[in-house]
This record gives sequence, C-alpha cells and structure tokens, in this order.
Amino acid sequence: MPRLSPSLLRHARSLNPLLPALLRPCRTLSSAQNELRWLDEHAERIAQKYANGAEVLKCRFETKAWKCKVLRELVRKRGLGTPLQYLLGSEYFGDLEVFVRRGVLVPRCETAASTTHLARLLRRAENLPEELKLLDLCTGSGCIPLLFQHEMRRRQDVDVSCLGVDVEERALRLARYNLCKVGRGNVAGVDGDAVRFVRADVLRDIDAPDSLTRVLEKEGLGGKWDVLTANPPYVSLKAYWSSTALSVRHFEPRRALQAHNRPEMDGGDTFYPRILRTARLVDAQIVLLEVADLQQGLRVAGLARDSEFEVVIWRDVPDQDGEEVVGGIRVIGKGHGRSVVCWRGAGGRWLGVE
Amino acid sequence: MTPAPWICRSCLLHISRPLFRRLIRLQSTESISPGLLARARSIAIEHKQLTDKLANGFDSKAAKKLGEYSPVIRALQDWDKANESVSELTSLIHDSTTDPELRELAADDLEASRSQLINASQSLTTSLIPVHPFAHLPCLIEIRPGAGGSEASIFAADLLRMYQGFCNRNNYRATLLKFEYTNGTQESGIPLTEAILEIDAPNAYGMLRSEAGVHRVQRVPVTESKGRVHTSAVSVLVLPSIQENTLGEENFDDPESDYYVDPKEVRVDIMRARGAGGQHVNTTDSAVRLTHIPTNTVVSIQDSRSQPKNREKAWRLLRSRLAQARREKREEEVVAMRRSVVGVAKMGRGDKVRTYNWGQQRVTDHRSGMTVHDLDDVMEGGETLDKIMESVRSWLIEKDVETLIAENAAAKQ
Ligand SMILES: C[S@@+](CC[C@H](N)C(=O)[O-])C[C@H]1O[C@@H](n2cnc3c(N)ncnc32)[C@H](O)[C@@H]1O
Repeated sequence: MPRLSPSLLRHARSLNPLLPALLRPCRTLSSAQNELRWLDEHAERIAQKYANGAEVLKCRFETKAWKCKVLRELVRKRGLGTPLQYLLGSEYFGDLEVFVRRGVLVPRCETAASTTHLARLLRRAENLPEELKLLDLCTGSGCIPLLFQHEMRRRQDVDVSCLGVDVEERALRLARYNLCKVGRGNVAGVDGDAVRFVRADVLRDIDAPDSLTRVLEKEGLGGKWDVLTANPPYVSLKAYWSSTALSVRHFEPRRALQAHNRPEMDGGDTFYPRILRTARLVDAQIVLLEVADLQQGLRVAGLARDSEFEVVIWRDVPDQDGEEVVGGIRVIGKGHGRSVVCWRGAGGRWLGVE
Repeated sequence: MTPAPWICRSCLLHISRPLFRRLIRLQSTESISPGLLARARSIAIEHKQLTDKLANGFDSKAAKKLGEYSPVIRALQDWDKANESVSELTSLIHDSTTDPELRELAADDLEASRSQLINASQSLTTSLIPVHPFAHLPCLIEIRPGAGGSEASIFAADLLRMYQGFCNRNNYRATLLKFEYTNGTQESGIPLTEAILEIDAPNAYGMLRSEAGVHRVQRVPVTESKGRVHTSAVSVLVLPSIQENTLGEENFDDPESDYYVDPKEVRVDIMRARGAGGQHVNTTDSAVRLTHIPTNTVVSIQDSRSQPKNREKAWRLLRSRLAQARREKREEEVVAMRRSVVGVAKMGRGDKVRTYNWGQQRVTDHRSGMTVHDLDDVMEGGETLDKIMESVRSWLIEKDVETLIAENAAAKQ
C-alpha cells in the first residue's frame, strides 16, 4: 500500500489531532472524517449511557471528559486496524441494520446488493408458490435471509420462510440475536417464526451426523427449497496473503474466508461443488452464489451448467446498465464479477429471464 | 394527496393584517381597486363554470383549480355583504323619510360596517395574490460560507445554530441532511464548510423562503489580533423539499412536472470498494453521488453509514435542486415583465438581504428595512428572529400587492 503523504497527514492533524490515526485504515481524508464523526457519535452515546447510570448511583460523572476518553480509545483501536463495524457494533446491510460481533464476518455491501436485487426481481414475479422457501448456506450473521425476508414483505400473497445454516456456534448465536432484533415487533417486516438458524457442516459427507442432509432430515426440514443462496468462504490462499485488507486478515475469522481444514490447498473453490450438489438435492429452482471475481465466477458457472442449471453472472452493482458475454456466459451490471445466478425449471420465470 | 394552498393563504392573511393598515392608509381608500374587483368577479364566474363541470363528472385538474379559487370566492362574498350593508345604511341615513331614531342606529352601524368593508377589501386583495406553488412543502436550507475566509465559516455555523434554535422553539422537525465541519466532528464554534438542514413542517417553504440570500456579518473575528472589524458573508439557499410522499405519485412520473427527473439522465456513482472488494476488504465508504447529465448538477451524500439512506437523501436533494432551477428559469420571464411594470425588488440568491452587526448588537434586514437590537436572541433563533422574518414576509406581500395592482392597470391599457 502506498505511504500516506506527509503533507496529507499534516493537513489532517491541523483539522483534528485524531484524524491522522484514522487515515491509516481509511486512506482518504473524507472517509477518515466520516469515520471520526461516526465514532464521535458512538462515544457520545456510550458516555450518555454511563452518565445515566451514574445518576442512578448518585455519583458525579463528567460526561464530557469520559466521552473524550472513549473517543480516543476508539480511534486508537481503529487506527490499529479494528474494523469500524466491530467498534460500533453494527453494519448496514441494504435497508437493515445488522448487529456484528468479533468472530463473525462483517456483512459486505456487495452481498447486500445482490440479495436486494434478487428479492426485487422475485417481488415482481408472477406464479410464485404460495410458500416460498429460501435456504442460506454459510449464513454468518444471518444477514442474507433477514434482508430477503425484509425485501419480500410487500408480497402479501407469498409466505416466505428461510433457513440459515452455519458451522460456527458464534455465528448462529449472532444470527438468532439479529433475528430477534430485526423480527421483534415486526419492525422491518421480518416474521420471527419464518426464519430459523441451524448448525450443520456444508462440507461433510452426506452420511456424517452433522452433514447438512442429516441435519435437515433430523430437524424435519427436508424436502424442497425453492431458492438457495450462499456466500461461502471463497478467498484463495494466494489472494488471502496478497489481496485481503490488513483489517480483514487480522480481525475477521479466517474460517469465514477460507475452507478451514486444509487452507494450504485452497484454491477458493472448495465449497461450490458441494453447494451445487445440495441445490440439486433440495430441488432449488434458483441458486445465488457469491464469488471472488469473474475468473472464479466463470469456473463456478461451468460447474453449475454441468449440474444442468442455466447461468448468468452479476457484477457488484447488478441493477446498473452493462452487459457482455464472457466465455459464453452473460455478465450483467457494473464492477467486479460477483455472483453466479443459476436457475432451472420455474426459476427462469421467477427471475424474469424467460 | 392534494396540497392545500389555502392553509398558507390563511397564514398570509394572518401576517398581513398590520401591514394592510399601513398600505390602506397609504392609498387613503377604504375600498378595493376596481381592477382587482373586476378580476375577482371574473374568477367567480370561472368558479361557477368549474363547479358545473365537476357536477357532471370528476376532473382532477378542475378540482384543483376550484380549491385554489375558493379563498377568493369566500373573500368576495364577504366583501359583497359588507359593501351592501354600507350602501344600504348610507342610503338610509341620506333618506329624509327615515325617522331620527332609526337614523341614529344606522349611523352607529355604519361605522362598524365600514371597518368590516376595509377588512374585507384587504382579504380580497391578498386572496388574489398567487400562492407560491411550493409554499406548502417542507424545505431545505443550504448554508455556505462566502467571502471572508474562516470567519465566514464560523458565521455559517452560527447561522445553522440560529435556524436549528428557531425550529426547536417552534417545534418544527429539523434534520441535518448534510453537514461538513472543517474538522470532521460536530461541535459548536467549529467552522462549517457546508450544511443542509431539512425542515419538515407543513408550509415550511412558504415561511422560510424569504431567508434566501446573502447574510452579512460585521464583527471582530476571534482570530483577529488587532481588534479590527471584518465584514464576511454567508449565502443561504432555500429549496422546497421534494419527497415522494409530499406529492402525489403522478408528479414524479409526469414529464411535464417540475419534479420529474428521468432516471436515465442520472448517473449514479457508488463509491465501490478499492481493490478486489467482497470478502477481501471491509469498506466503510457509503457515499453516493448523483449526476444529472443534461444540467451537470451533482449532489453527493456520505453522512450516513447506510448506503440506501444516502441514496435516498441524494435523490431528494437532486429533485429539489432541479425543481428550483426549473421554476427559477420559468419565472425569469415573468419577473422581467413585472420589473418593467413596477420596480419589484429581486429576492435572488445573490442579493444581500441582512446584516448582523456585533459592535452595535443589531440586526438589519435590507428588504423590510427593519432593525432590531436583541442580537443574541436573534442568533439563538428566538422571537426576535420571528419578528424580522415576519417583516420580510409582509414586505413580500406588499410587493406582491403592488405588482398585482400595477399589472391590472397595465392589462387594462
Ligand atoms: C463469507 S462468510 C458469509 C457470512 C454471511 N453469509 C455474509 O454474507 O456476511 C462464510 C460463513 O461460512 C461459515 N462456514 C465456514 N465453513 C463452513 C462449513 N463447512 N459449513 C457451514 N458453514 C461454514 C463461516 O462460519 C462463515 O460464517
């Protein structure tokens, strides 16, 4: 990464002594200024909370001094690379605010863009089944099913139910917490009963006790799932060391980025054959898979075609103009190749491609 | 939803009372100018025709027009009634056959009826002033430092606080749509590079549009060591806030409407992650920039951590700017015509409208000519600010009435 110019650092310091530390992770002044403002608001909230507590205990409390201390500490941590979202405790995912915790991957805006786009296509679709079922593998914070539910809430003629699957208990706990925060009182239109999270290992052989098929059977969740989504670990070993940001490598769980058992062998594609096999098993009509880039997207598209799916690739911003054909596959939108969208049977009509 | 222009009409009437006493004295007549009366009569005829038309089936354009005319009709009815009783009483008094007791009673009544007629004339005149089509909308106040360096930025922050105080006191919901302090945080006394305050109260645009213009400050800046008084300026822009729920949907889809923006003509730039994106990086950049290609109008919003929220704010801002620009362009011709008729003062963004003088602790508005001395109260957005703003609105109405009368006279020639 190029060094920050001394004059930029000097200028930043003259504006606010806390800014130079933030420039290291942020790189640009305007983004550092934004982060400082958000951290400042957060410090204010924390200080207020303590102040209220102090009032109850009838002890004196200097809100302002405390706030300064909190802010300095937050800035210090951010300067060392802690993701801003872990410090603030949440991230915006589409129209939702999703809670995040150390040990679980922070949801990304590209994932939100493709999930929103998929839901908006389906929202317009005719002939949707009365009950639409979505299975999200490698669900992490649970962001994909929660946003999908939220976006589909206006389709009153369709009951959407979702299941999120992850191996990590930590992720499942967070996902359930998010469900209860988002679903409670139906604030965002997410019905608490319609979304569930269970633990299973997507990579296990079919007959292992914690394999996905076994778990689904055991939980009475077997049978058909109309839509399957997954943002599985997809970072190759080489990319892990060369392309991930420092704050990702140092602070986010490696198991969310790479197949954990043998990372040294990982070319990044480990999960896709398994997921596509599951997709056929549950008779999914639409499959949305996030990928690292166009190259991986084309490989995954090949696998999907082998499994008798039709395929397009969406870029980061799928709802913007732009279309080309690469390696025989249609690629839509702007940005990096980001998602492989597969369909069969009724799926094509739901997506509006037929 | 149909906007309700009469709400703001009644507020105009309310604020115009004291002014009218002045105006009437000026004209030394208790009645309305014949030209305006004729205009009101022709509106009444049209109103009648529209009512008949509506009886035969609904027509939303006619219904809207009807709504706009109804204050005139009401005012005209009041005027007719008052006028009738004045002439009846007068003839009674002048009639030699009237018995003395009755005559005395009539004389008492005449006084009351005369003042009723004066009131009715005033109401009728104001009801004829065309209502600003955006008056009922919420508004955006954009504050930007002009000439005067850092002192201007500090004064910009002062003005922002003034408007926030004003809204607070009046219970108007005010949210900062965008604000850029030069050092990234938001604290008092910190210079401001730009702020956009959204005021979400019915009629906010009608009430605050006269704040637009250049606000000038004269004081010794904190940074000035020699104690010299500096003059700096801050420009204030007031735009109607165009939100999807303030207007019926049709206004957005109708290419004829001021609010219409063709999405195809807008380039959306989302600040995408640097490098590979996706799982590789963890970006916090949620900025959204919209460019309206035909007019090269650019808005960019990055205040919220939520990209959809930034996008929504950016669209709102873009719509407001474009609608304002279109309207200004259309009005230019009208204004040029009016100016040739009477010397209507401009009220554009480039004009110096008010001076805040610290040394003398006074605020002077250059349009209404009002000077107040409680500077602190003004800067806190207190009632003294209300007083100045009211004087400007009255001044505006005065100008409008003059124009109306002059136009009428010109049309007759
Ligand atoms: C890239 S994260 C995606 C999280 C979330 N869906 C999102 O988009 O933010 C991948 C997730 O897969 C989970 N995971 C890793 N290996 C898994 C496995 N073998 N079976 C199921 N889930 C696994 C990780 O715990 C992590 O939460």
